[in-house]
Amino acid sequence: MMPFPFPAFPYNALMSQNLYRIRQRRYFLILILLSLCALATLGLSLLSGSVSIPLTQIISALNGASGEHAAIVLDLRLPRALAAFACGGLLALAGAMMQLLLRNPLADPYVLGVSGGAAVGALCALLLATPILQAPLALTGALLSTFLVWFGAFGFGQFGFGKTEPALAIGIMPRLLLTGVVIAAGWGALIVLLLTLAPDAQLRGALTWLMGDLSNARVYWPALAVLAFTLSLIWPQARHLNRLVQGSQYAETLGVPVKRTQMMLYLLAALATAASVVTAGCLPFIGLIVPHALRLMLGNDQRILLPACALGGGAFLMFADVLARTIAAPYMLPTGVLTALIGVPIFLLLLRRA
Amino acid sequence: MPEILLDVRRLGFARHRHELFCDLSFQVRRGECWAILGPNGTGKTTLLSCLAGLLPNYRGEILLADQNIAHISLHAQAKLRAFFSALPFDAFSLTVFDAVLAGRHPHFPTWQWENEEDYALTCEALALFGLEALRERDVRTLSAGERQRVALAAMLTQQPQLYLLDEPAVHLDPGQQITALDAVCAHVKKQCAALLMVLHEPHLATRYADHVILLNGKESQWGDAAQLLSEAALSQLFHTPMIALEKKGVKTFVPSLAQSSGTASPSRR
Repeated sequence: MMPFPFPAFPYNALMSQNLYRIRQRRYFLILILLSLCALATLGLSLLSGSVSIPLTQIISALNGASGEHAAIVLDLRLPRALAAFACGGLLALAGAMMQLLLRNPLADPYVLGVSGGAAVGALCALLLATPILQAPLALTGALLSTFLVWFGAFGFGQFGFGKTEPALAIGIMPRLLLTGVVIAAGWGALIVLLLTLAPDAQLRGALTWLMGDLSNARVYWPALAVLAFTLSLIWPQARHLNRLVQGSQYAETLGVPVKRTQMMLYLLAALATAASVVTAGCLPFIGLIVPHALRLMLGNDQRILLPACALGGGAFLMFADVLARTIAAPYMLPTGVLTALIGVPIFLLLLRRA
Repeated sequence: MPEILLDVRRLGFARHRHELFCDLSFQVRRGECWAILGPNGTGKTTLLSCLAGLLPNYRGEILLADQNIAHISLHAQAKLRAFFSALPFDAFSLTVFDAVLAGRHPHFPTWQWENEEDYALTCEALALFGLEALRERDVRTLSAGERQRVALAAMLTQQPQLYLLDEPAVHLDPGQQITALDAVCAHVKKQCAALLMVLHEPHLATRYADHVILLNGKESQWGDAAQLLSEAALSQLFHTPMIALEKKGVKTFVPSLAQSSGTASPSRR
């Protein structure tokens, strides 16, 4: 990993009055750099493909020119790149939120069965050949999964905004994690069942989709809208999340509305996961890798980490998608295979460094 | 600000239908330092959690600076009282500096970041506990005693009126116990705040506390430390013979110096 070109805080050289300005400037710079990085990846994504289109034509297409090349850029490459950006951002954000909720750096929407629920819903629609139902069914699946996990871990009596019950407050997180794992296994079995029942004609499409595939991601704006919505709701809570991650009781003594914040984390993570699963199927590892890598580079301040996850996750998935399209051209690999193949070694490397 | 920081009226708490304590009524004034002593399992931590507003299902009333804590938000309480409890497990990396800065959390609104004053307070607290050299260290790499001092420093930056400490001396060596508690108590006195802490060591209680609560179910006692602390009271409380030691007019209590000859003391249940 490239270290960022900012000096460590020179506490001894500078008085405390300058410390916070340095820190804020550093955070501002990081966001600018990540935005530039995402933009560059978008450019790369528009440039690469089976037909080579020069940069000048891409720019003129974006400015409204028409023609065969403009059609390829505007109807194929741009939607796919933006869908990749949105899904990557959503998954990284969902992963970061799950990790905060469970206070476990290895948590992920997949671990808690949220994406499993969304996948089962979307798969049902795929096999029933009713694509119009895909989004609502996936969201239903993700929400159902969320509520199952939540009820399983907290019980019906706890499903309120009251104060945390002491006995539960201690064991709540391991219970939540275990319930999530069990429910994810249940969804996994349902997926196999659906695939067994599926007619052969649809089996290949369903399998590709399950591995994560952006080739059918034409409609990108719902995912982008959900990304903006999720970030705008959770970013203002980042200050509370910084304390929540130190322990829910400690956060409570500092005046953090723990229960409300946890509920928000869970619901928003479910929404983000469902939106990404509908758009591009199951893309593994992004929710785990991106927040982890960014945390190692930027530290664990959620005020910077959450927007960084949205940008970095988007850039990561766009890049993985470029590779998926070009690495074995003219064949297109499922993007999920690529994210897993990139993700596993990076994850192992990060673990060694940490 | 009112003179009486904490007014506890007929406080009781039952867990699993078992009565931990009942009818506790005491008032903590500015500048006072209270110690809570008692055997394991009598509800010392539960009592502090009740006072910190973390356990809502107590009986009786708790008034924090004249306001009933059942009616004010945790955020409002966080500006008035700090609660130091057993160390949480650090799942994510965090620098010592940020861990101490965390104490400032109740004092600024959502979109505002920490300002110069918060940083200055943090530097001050780090210096007070001798943690300057550690401030870039990850809290997960600290020893338990160092982590404990970081948590104490974070509590001081919160700058409340009332300090609630659950076993602040645990994990610390005798030298650090004295240095750390001296620093905390001097800080509390300087701010004209009040302090309530659970202690297991009678010698720390006699050193720091002017009032004590001897928590022991229905036989709980509270009041002036000099009056309540005696060989008989502490022996009964801890079910082991305790003896007084006195040097230069300062008195403290320790378990009897010789090992008992195998027979348990008659008061042990």
